[in-house]
Amino acid sequence: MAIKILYFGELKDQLGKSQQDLEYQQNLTVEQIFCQTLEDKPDLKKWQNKILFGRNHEQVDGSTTVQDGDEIAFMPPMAGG
Amino acid sequence: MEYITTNKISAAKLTQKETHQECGGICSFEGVVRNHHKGKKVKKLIYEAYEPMAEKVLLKLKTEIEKEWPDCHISVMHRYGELQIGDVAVAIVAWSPHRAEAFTACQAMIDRIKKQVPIWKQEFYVDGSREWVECCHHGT
Repeated sequence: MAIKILYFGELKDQLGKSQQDLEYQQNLTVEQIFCQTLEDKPDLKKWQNKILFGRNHEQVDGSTTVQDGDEIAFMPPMAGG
Repeated sequence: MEYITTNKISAAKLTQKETHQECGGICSFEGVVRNHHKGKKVKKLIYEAYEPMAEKVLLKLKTEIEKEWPDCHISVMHRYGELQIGDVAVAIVAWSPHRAEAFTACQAMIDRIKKQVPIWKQEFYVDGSREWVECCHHGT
């Protein structure tokens, strides 16, 4: 299963990348994928409780299961306007 | 893109584009880049947008408000990219047969934009530092 991950705002800066392509064998939730992203980065734990998830341009809950070909977005709280 | 752009925007331009002869009240709002934040002097801002989702959410909010205020019409543009002090970041116009609904619909639109549209802002200060700003959702 191939998915595309997009990172935005401060999170993008902290990770040093704006996107990445990932391959998975099993179906994971967006939250599980996000937790894997933070695994070896204790200084980024602050995002765990406030990150917002997008799937194919729709905001979704962390429990949403990722499908093959999805575009997943990890988004800090919105700050437009 | 219909609702986001890197070009200059204004409420006046939005107002000129549409005519609603049944509407006696037009309320417009512009969110403008200010020169200070929490005591620091701001030099410029960079807005980052998740473009396709921002377009989708702005259309959803416009549709939602027009449904909740049935006789209202909403026009909206959000700018992204690099903005200087005084530049308009977001412009909203609400038309309504009567003034009260124009005011409330316009306010509801900006409040929802701040919470729901995937746009982030980084402030660059006169002292050379920079910071991603978390939105204050209390109407300032």
